Amino acid sequence: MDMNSFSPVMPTSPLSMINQIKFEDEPDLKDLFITVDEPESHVTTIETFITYRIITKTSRGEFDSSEFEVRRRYQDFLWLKGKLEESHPTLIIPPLPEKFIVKGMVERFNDDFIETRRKALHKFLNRIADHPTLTFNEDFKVFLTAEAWDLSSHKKQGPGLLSRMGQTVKAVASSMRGVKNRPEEFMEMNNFIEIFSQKINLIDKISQRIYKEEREYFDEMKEYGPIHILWSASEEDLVDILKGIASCIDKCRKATERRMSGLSEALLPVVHEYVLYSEMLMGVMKRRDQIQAELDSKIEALTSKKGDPHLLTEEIGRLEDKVECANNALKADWERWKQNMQNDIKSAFTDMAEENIHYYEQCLATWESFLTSQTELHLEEDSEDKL
Amino acid sequence: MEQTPPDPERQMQPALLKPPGHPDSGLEAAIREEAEGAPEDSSGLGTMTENNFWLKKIEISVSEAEKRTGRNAMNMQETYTAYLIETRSVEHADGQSVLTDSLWRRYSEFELLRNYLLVYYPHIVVPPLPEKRAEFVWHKLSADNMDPDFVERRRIGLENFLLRVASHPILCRDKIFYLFLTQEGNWKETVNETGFQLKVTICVNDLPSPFMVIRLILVVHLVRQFMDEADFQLLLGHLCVLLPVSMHFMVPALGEEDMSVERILQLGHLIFQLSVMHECAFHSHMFLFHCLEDLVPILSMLIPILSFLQYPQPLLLPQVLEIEAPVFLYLDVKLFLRVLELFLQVEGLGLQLLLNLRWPCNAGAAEAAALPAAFSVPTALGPTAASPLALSPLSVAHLLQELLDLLLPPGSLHPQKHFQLLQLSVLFLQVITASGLFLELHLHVIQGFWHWQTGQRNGSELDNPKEVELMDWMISRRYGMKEKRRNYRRFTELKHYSDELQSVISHLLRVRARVADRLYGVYKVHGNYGRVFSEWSAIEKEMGDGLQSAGHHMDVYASSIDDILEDEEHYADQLKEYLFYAEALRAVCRKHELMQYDLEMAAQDLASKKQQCEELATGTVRTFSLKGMTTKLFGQETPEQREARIKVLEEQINEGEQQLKSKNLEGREFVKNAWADIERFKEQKNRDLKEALISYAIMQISMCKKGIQVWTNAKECFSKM
Repeated sequence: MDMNSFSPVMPTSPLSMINQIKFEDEPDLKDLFITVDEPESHVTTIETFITYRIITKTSRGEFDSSEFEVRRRYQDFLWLKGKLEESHPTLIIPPLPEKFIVKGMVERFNDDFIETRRKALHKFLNRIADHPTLTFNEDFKVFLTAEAWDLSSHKKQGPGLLSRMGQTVKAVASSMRGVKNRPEEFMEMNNFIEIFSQKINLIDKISQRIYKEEREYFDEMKEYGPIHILWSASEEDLVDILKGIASCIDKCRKATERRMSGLSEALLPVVHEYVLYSEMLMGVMKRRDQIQAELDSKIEALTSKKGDPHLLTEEIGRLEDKVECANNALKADWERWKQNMQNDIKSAFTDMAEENIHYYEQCLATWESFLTSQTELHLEEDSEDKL
Repeated sequence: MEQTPPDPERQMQPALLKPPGHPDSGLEAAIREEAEGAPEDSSGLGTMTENNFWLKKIEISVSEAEKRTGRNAMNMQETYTAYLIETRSVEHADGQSVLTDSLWRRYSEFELLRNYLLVYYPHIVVPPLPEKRAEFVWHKLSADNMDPDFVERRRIGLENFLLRVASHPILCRDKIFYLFLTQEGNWKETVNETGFQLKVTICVNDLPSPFMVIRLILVVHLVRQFMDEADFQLLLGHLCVLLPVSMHFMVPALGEEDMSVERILQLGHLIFQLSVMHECAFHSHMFLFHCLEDLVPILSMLIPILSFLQYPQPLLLPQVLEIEAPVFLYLDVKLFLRVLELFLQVEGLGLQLLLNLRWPCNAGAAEAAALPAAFSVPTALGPTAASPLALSPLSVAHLLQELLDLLLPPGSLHPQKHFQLLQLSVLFLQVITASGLFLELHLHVIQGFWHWQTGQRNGSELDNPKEVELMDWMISRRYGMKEKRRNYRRFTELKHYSDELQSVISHLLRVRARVADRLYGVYKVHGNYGRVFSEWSAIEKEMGDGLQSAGHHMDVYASSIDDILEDEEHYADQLKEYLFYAEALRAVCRKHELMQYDLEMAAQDLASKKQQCEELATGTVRTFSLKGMTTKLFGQETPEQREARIKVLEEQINEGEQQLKSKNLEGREFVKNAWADIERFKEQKNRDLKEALISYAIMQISMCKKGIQVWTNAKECFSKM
């Protein structure tokens, strides 16, 4: 659920609050609160884009002030993500929403799309803020605090697009070659990620489909109530009961709508985030493999006595450290991530179950009160008959 | 699940039948008597009272359905479903039932029974049969007649039908119904022996409807174009077999190239008989009637109008129009206006002729004042646009203007044309009136027209009896005979109601089918979670168990919809029964209409005979008639001949008066009986529908409870993860 507790636009259910407090990595130490809101459309001659307002409240000493307000666009988020990946190749960086398509509802309204993305961006920043390592990243601080011109100068310092491209190519190449002696635990991790990715994608699809089916159910229900009203016009003696049924159907339809919006808030974004997470995880695995592949190639070179053995040994030592470092970072982050994932999935599904229970309870109450009113009517009629 | 206390009258479940209002005595004796007694004349209701008693303590059930194969009349292999009907008599003392009869019937036999009941009890809203083929299906539902679920639902429906008939105060006394339950063999023969099909023919013979005649002539002509000669002969063969009496009319009539009007009328009459019969027995060619239905009324409307134009001879004209006028009352105005448009477009015929027939208009200020009122009305009738006629007020206004132009422009007019046009315009007005939609308009027009008419004559006496008749007609339309009007209105309302009932229920059923479809989707997609969860649980150590059992609950959730929707299907069947009841209601209305029409025709016939008689007696000829023409052409008859003819006519008039009296009586009786049964039906309907709707609410409640249970279980699993 959402980590944010003081955003004015985000409804926060008590349940998610509890989860948040209970499962947060460092709940007591939370000292960085970030809100993403007020999307704003910018139209220039070259392009149209949307910026989001980012408000940061913090008590950390390394920040110059306790409150910051900046506006950022999607590309800036992308830059931040790139930066984080670069400096922490084997940490599990929270996923950014996709460039264009976020959750099946995009086609419908542009506003929906923006809102969904806003929520996802909000979550992205808060995930970073809650991450024990990433939260102290220098670029993250720059992203949160720097003025627009300052940010763009920071951006220029980073490696250009080309070098990043090169890295990706290298990563792809190394993973194509495959890593010979990947440690057992990472093999396991890799297996998990593969299956997880498969399943979470399926769950995403199923959930989207349910949402779609419910939407269609909701649409078909539209005529169902009024037709009873229409009918009541020609049935003198059944007016009450027909109108009663119509209003019940109408109320149930509204409950369906609430269930749908509950589903689209509690379940869909969480599941989708983990779909993206699974992609991030694959990226992390690749980067780890790549680091190891670099080491392996040097070792190979040493054994086949190519190049300067002294220089190579030195580099191997350095690389060994790097691999060690990367592995340890990943292992630590992996456990943390898994714990988070389980909590999130669990609370998402619990919320979904709760939404459904709530929905059925509402419908039940509606129909039961209708039934009592009808039977009371019958009783009255009966007693009148007796008199 | 709570249930409202079961209504004892309700027969969804086999229950004791207690038709209200009959003493509870003589049961045993009645059973014996009935069992021994030879079949009686089933048309006599009075002699059937005993039957009622054995039904009182009898349980009827359709307990089984079985698929069978056999050979049909054409010796072709066919598969059908037979249903086992069991009747048990209930003993007084211990309430135990004893199986008295059990026999197999198939759907077509139920149909035959119902058709028989329809013919013999025209004033009764005969309970409908369940659908022959599944209608309003959604994707999971099979449209197959042999589908076990469908057969089961039909079994319940057929049982319900039998119970409804058995609990009907009048129908339950019927001999044929009794035999249907007790005599397996020879039953069909017994039904046919009652000659109920003959009765259709007989009552048709009493109802020569020229509109139907013309309509059916066209059917035959069109059918001929669609069929090759051999098929056509085959069709003729069928017709002749079904109507042996009429055979000699049929074949020669079709052989002639140019048929005389009389021949056409004869032929049409015959086919009309068939078309009534075909509802009972003539299924095979029904589709032809169906596909032509749209075209035929238009053409049949054109025929009299065109014949009016092509034969403006006074001797033919009044005859055609006289016959047609009341017929128009049964048509809708939309069609008529379309025809009118066509008619105005017919090159060189309609318009030209009409334009030649200009009225001399020295109309005074009074008329001029009356007309704008008539003109302004159509445009003021805004709602017409939204009416089912879908005619723009503008086009109505346009047509009316055209009509009024024809009535009123200055010019010269031949006295004979004057009369024709008068009749034509009255015709228009009748149609407009009949639609009911233009009632306001009609009053204005009639008033204006009548003012003009009387003003034109400068208060001179109306000496033409035809015109007197027309005026009477108009006045009767305007003020009407109270009782006739009330009945007319009651039945029109009933017809309107049954149309509404049919359209709203079928709409409801369509929407329900779609909603069911979607609900099915919502539930079933949840089932996919089940599979994915259980696969996922394999890699999750901590969440594994929780996921696995949550998946199980999702499976339960997905499969719960099958039962829910199967229950809902029964609710749909209850609604469908009333959908079909709408048709039964209409049948009663139709019968009333036909009787009414019959009465009108008899009255008209009588009036014309009286007039003829008077003409003969006084020797004056007031209208242009065949008689008048022949008299003019061939000279006067001898006094003896005239005496004889007057005598014959007087006899006919006497007979006609008797007939009219008995028809009036019959009509009144019919209205009384029909209305009593309709009241009974309404009560039954209100009760049943109320119960069905309540049961729907109960189903919804049980669905919600199931949902809460499943999701509570699932939630527990999730939160344990």
